[in-house]
Amino acid sequence: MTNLKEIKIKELAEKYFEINHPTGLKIIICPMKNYTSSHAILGTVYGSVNNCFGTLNGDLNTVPEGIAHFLEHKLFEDKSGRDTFELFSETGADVNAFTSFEKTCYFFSGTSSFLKNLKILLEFVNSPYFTEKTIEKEQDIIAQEIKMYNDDPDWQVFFNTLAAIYIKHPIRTDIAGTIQSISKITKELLYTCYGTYYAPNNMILVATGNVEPESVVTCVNELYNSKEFKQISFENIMPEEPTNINKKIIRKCLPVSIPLITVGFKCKSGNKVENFTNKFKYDMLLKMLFGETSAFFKKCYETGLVTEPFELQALSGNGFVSLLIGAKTITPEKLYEGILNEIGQKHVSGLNSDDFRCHKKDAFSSLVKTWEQPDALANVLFDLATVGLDFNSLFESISKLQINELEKLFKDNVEEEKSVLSVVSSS
Amino acid sequence: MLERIQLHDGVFFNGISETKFKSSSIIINFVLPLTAETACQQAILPYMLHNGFKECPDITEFHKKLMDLYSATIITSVKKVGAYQIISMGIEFIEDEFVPEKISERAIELLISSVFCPIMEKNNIFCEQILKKQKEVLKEIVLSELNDKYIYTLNRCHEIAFEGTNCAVNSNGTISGIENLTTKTVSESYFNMLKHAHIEILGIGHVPTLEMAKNKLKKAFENFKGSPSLKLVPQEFNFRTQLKEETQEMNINQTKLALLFIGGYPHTEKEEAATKLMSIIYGGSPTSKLFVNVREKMGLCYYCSAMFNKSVGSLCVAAGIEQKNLEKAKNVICSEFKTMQNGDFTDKNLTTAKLTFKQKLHALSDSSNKLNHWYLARILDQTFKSPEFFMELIDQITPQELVQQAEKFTLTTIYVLKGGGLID
Repeated sequence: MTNLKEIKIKELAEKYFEINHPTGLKIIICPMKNYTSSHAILGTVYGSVNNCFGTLNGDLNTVPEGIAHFLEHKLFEDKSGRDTFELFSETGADVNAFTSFEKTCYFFSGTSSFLKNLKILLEFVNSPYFTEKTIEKEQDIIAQEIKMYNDDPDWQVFFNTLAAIYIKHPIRTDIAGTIQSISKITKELLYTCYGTYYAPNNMILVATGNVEPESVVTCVNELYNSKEFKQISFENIMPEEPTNINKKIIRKCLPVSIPLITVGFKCKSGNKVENFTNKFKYDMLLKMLFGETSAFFKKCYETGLVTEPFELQALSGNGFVSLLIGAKTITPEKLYEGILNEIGQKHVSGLNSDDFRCHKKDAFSSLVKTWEQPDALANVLFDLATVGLDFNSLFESISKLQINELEKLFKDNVEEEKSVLSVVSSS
Repeated sequence: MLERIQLHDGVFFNGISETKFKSSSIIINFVLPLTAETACQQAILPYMLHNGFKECPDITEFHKKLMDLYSATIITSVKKVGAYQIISMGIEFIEDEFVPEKISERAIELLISSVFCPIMEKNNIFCEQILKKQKEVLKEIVLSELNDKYIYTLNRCHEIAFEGTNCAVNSNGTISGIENLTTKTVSESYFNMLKHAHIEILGIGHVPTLEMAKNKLKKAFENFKGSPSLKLVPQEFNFRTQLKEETQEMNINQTKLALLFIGGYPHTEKEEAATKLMSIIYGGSPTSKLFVNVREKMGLCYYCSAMFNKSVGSLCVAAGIEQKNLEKAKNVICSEFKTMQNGDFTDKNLTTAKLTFKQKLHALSDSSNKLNHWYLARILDQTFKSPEFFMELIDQITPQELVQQAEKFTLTTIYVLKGGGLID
């Protein structure tokens, strides 16, 4: 019998399992009653911000921006030149991958042949094969992906905000890098990054939906026991980020109907667990201040400053915490000023306790809804595993949260001088 | 699986009982003819109603009520299916057993209040102030179509392909149409929608919730008994067969390309399934001809895919490319389609397309949202067929049937949004 650790979620009468595999791979399995489809993610805690790292032999590596995303593309091709998509097409499963700031995930969804699909996933992610010729071809494809995002006003206003907030932290650059940076990627650099970050002790496997825990573990054992894995130690090296912002206002010209803006705040960064749990608190804070139930949104909507709800987002990770408020408005500076005034006033008046109770219900409901979709649940369980937490910690963090704790977080971290304005407009 | 009953003349309740979800959803779909004259006066209605209702005329208070119901979500959408305009208003909420208090009845009543008890003046006319605000909201939605260049390109290609027919009408109307809206026309349009639209209510969730929604909605529609002016019948369109090409220049990095082929409305489920399989082999998966050749072999793009739109019988290809590669991309997209018409695909291609399609159909039952989309489409075409029906049908499709469908398609429109003027 495999040593499965059962985690019960009493609020939902649900449970899932955790296993620490001898290779170091962390496995999370969540069977979902009556679901026909299953979803599996195999991912590494390695993303676009990890461009500088030290290894045990004392080497310090600085690699081109965009290499984690490039590596994600290249893993889909095996030694025989066969595309991984072709292997999955034989079972009819959907396969894809994504790279974000701090993780690279490979995943599939399907309604049959789960174990066959899982085997393909485990095999292709563990079988890197790169040649200069295929790298050159991929540079052309990714250049088109970069150009596509360069034409996307939402993407541009978002990354410009981060570039305005951060001075040195690599979160300020696009996940795919630039056409110039990816042109410097070589086969040797890809193998170095792969060898550092794709060891099982830095990876997580999550399976949700119509899955059976014992068979998942057996499948992993069969494949991983036939290979030789080493525990790899490395150190992510992040530049020391100053506390001040980089640039107050940043603008870009693109064809848009009315200007798009994002107001960003640079908050203090703690350790990775603090940053992770604080993200949920910041999400609640942003909704209380600027969400559809807020007096501020009502005022902006009624005076015509905005016609749609604000897009609110708290970002957090290794060395960064920031809050983003996005909108479409014909008067960017006026709205920015209004947001700053609102923050100033709320620093004095404090948060409303009725609002706080209402927003706790909102946070509770978003956790319940996570359990409706195998893919959404798998992603949340993956993120929790990266910081060593379980799903109960999210319910606990909401139920224990007091209004004075949220107010303190707000007053200590959301300040006018740490704010920026990013604008994308036609002229 | 789908239980359909008639509540009143032209008002149907379609219940899909599903206990695995933790939420339930109830969506009222008003099906109306899409015309240039009426598009915006109908499109503005969900936004007029989304502001609150008679007993709760304050937008913030309305959203607080929703949040108090553990963030029940009001669903509003305006879309077009062929030459129908579908105005949808609904609510999604967590089932009572997963929250500490009973909320489902209050959530259903909130939806009914927002649809049937809008904020109006005494003479049943919408308030000028609300209309003025919502005109700005709708104008912004229409103008924002420019922001996403991929969607903009597809929309422009579709408009050119169906120019002169109601299918080309923007489901949200035009800027001048919105500017000309008055409280009188919009109020008339609201009562017309309640009394004369063909109404399809879709409920997905636990049985007691569906029963409660059905009874409450039956009562709510009693005061608005009318007769539907629209009969749902298969839609037929006259379409242009000669090629039209249009280029628009824009200050963007990458050229966006759309090619639209028209093959006509599939008259049987078998024709529909064969066309769908043909579109998967051609450009609907990462092993498709377009993905493998245009992206992987030639490295011309990041995306190049084909989408079949049953409601108008079209197959549209979209790609983002370098301007200098435009002719090369157009040629290969057309030549790959020719190979489909010539039957130049393998048994393996067909087998994997069948597997892909069947798995997508099988997985529909795991998503409330996807079930909603599926059954609304099946109700609109009046076949009421389940995903399981199609899963069985797919196995019967032969390569010859795919070729027969491919042969029906003609390239009628090429739209190019020319970029490349910006330096990265």
